[in-house]
Amino acid sequence: MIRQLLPVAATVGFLGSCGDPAAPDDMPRGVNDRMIVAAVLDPDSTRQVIEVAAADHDARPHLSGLRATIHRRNLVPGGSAWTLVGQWDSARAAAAGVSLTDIKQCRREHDGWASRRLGVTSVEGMHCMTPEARLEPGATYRVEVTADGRRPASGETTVVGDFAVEVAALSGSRGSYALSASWTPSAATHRYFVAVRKRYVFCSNCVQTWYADVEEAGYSGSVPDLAVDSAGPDPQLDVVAMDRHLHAFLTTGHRGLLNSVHPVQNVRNGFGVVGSARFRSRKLVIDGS
Amino acid sequence: MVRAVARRLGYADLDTLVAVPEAGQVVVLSLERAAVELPALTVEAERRMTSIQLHRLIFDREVAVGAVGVTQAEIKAVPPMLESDVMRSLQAFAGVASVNDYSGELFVRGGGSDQTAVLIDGAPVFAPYHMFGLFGAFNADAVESTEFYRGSIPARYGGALSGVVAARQKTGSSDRTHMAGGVSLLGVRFAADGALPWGGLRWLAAGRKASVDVATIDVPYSFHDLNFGLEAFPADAHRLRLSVFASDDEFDWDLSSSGTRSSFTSDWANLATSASWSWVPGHLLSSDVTAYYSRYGAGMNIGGTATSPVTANRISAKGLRAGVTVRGDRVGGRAGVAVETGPVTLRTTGGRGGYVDGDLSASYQHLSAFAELEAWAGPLRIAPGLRAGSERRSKRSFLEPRLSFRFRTPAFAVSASVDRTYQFLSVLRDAYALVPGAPMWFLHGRDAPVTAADGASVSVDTWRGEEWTASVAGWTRRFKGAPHWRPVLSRDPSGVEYQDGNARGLEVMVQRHSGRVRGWLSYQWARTAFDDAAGTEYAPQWDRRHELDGLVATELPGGVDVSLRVTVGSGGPFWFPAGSYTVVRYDPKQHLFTQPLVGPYELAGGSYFGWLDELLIWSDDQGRLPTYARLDLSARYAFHWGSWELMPYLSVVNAGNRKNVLRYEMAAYAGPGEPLDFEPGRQLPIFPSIGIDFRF
Repeated sequence: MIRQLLPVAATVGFLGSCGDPAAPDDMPRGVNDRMIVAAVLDPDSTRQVIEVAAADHDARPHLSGLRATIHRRNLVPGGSAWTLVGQWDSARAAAAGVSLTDIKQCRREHDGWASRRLGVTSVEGMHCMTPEARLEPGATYRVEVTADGRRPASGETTVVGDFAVEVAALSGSRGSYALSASWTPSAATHRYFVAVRKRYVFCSNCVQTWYADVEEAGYSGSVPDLAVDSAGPDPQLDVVAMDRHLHAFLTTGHRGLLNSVHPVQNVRNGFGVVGSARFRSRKLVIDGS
Repeated sequence: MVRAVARRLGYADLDTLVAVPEAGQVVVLSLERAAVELPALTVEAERRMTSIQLHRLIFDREVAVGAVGVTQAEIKAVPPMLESDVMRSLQAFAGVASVNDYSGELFVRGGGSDQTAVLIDGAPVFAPYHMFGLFGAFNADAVESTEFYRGSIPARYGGALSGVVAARQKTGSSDRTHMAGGVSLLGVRFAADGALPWGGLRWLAAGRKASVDVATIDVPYSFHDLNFGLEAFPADAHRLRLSVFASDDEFDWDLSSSGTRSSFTSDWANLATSASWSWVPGHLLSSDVTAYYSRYGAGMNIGGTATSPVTANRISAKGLRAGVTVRGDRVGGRAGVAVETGPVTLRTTGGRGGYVDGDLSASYQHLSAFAELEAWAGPLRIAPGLRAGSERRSKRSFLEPRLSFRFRTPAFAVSASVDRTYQFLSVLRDAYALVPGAPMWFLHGRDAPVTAADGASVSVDTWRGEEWTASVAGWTRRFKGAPHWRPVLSRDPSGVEYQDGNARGLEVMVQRHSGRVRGWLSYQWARTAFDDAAGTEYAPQWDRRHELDGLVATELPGGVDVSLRVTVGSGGPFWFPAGSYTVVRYDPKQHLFTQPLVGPYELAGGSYFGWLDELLIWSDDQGRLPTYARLDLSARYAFHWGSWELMPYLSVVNAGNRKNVLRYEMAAYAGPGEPLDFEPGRQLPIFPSIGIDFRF
């Protein structure tokens, strides 16, 4: 019996004493040579905000040789041609005394609403570039980003047109608030977000944030109490017109549990979105007040 | 003395001389059961065939390289994970790779697990596993035999690139009712068979019920399977069989926390039924007709947020197969036709965010004809084969030639095979993330290629007396148009790439079939690689380069059977998360951002609130998991109690409690520019279990 059990004991001892494996035999460097690009072109602003980060953590924030360009598409017989309308790079940033990695400063210093308010994506180690470019509603623009050792990333969007909120009225009482709003149509707009502006961003109880996602240039319907309660004493109606790329990016994807479902994106050779949006606001008229 | 000749379908002919009995006396002649088909691998339940007998039977009958045999006793000898499992026991063979402890899937000679067809009584079983692949779906007590072809598949089988597992349900014996079963920590199972007192009708009824609660993660999981069979002999040389197999798995993992509802649910069910008619008019001719219906349904819901889309997969396959076998002294052959039709639906409903975002539904109508020949010329046997078919919906046709030969001497035999196979039904498998759940089958689209594999293999087999056999085999296979899915930006099925690849391997196996210490030792080296659309070569998940598998079984004094199995393998490939980014979380069902949107109407600030979805970005380069090793032990003792035979057993999986690595996950992010940290996810820890098998 002992002779028969010896091999068992020897094998158990051998496998048990090998130690538990922790490090892989061959550890990948975690390389991904793409970039994350978030650019929401705003024709109301003279400077466009283009945020860029390396896709892989190890490389952040060290993107060198970063350069962003905005080209306008011109329809010509037999095709199209692209005209450079704006650009930004490390040298320009240095000359302007701007840090490419100070995202908050970058967003704060430029007057486009998108640069300050629309945080469509976020990573640590983000770079921010602000090429000056005057955009024409209805025209198509291409945003290209290059950096040393990275795949050039690019995306295109058609800039949405001007519009104005004409009616913004809130009626009813708790449990039966109703919103009636209309605005002039915005050219090249895919859909509109309609919301009652919240007084506080950091409201811990507003787990669900109300807004309406509409195709037409108007909204008539109910509004949850929470949206009105958090609006404050001087409520505003906000309407955002956005192109299809930005809308798709914002309304798709989630982390999932076992597999990430990335949002719909339009950045070739990269991640993120190149879209267009325009923001309008009007004070809400409270019915009966 | 008189000559007595007895023939019965399913039994070997008896031709003997008997003494003329005196008046009133009876002479009992016993017929040995024998299969009509020519099995490659037969897993015996009741038959008293020894390991070496089975090995020789298979070796003599099949010329193709890669047919192997194992007896029921050998399956029982493999230390079980809760209970004996036919599918898991097949993983121990050279040429079959396993990917981790949680998967009983068979990756045969470089092919994906969906490239090995699994049949029961001729009907396909699309998800032949329970618990995400942890256990095989077949109740071992209800299965009489299983044929296993690795790499070289006879022409009579179609629709599979890399292997075939053809199981055959038990049929009842005519003498009395038998019952077998067991109780384990997994659940209970039983199988009963016998014969009705009229018409010689034989029957089988079997079932298994399991319910698992993994306390540490609160995972309620249950499954069951059922087998039912009838066999009748309405006339001399005619046999009718009816076979039903059904299985059902249900899993619901509630991951809700802190007011956020989240869950992962998965369920799937198989129903495989077949009816066959066999006619054996004589020694030289036999024919079979089989009609079958196989239904598969699966649903998967991965709801990380309030989003709860459901991905559903449905297949309803209906088929008819007919064949004729002709045997001669020096030439034999088999020919037949087959038709199979069915819709295959794979789609996600309820919004974006399912396993696949899109619709891959289609239907097929597959017609085929096959022919196998075999000729003997002295020590040389040659076996050419051909399968021709068409898929009518996509208007495609294909030819699958096969050729095998064997040169045999008294001391050794050299065999070789070349073959081409096609497959147009595949599983959509996420190559990046290990997503447990039901297999998601899809039909290759009209514009997508049908996957093809060209293979060549050669083996040298030798034997020593009645105890030892050994073989060395080498093989190479070339894949064209194999679907691979590495979802990056979306789970849109348009991201499926039809890639070319190649695999090659070397296998060595030594087996001792009888004696006080029995078992086998196998080693395989294999390399599998595919080229992605960018032309970059990568290794699929099942590319385990080296694998050593050993089994030793012996009987200790006192009648206790003990077994030891050792598996040592090099680590498989994996992809690593290279980075991530975050976006706002959106619920398409309610058209609401379920967490505060830092966006259009968050005018007061502009800072991020933190309730954002973090999305993984995968690394471009692959790594290799560390070396895998596992030791399993089991002890079994049989004793009799009246007409009962009781066999309690103890099994310890991963007896050394080695912490083999399942995958690597990104640990806490240290910050920009800091080295990436990772932590390993573990495979099975030491896992002891007890159970008791019985039969009477």
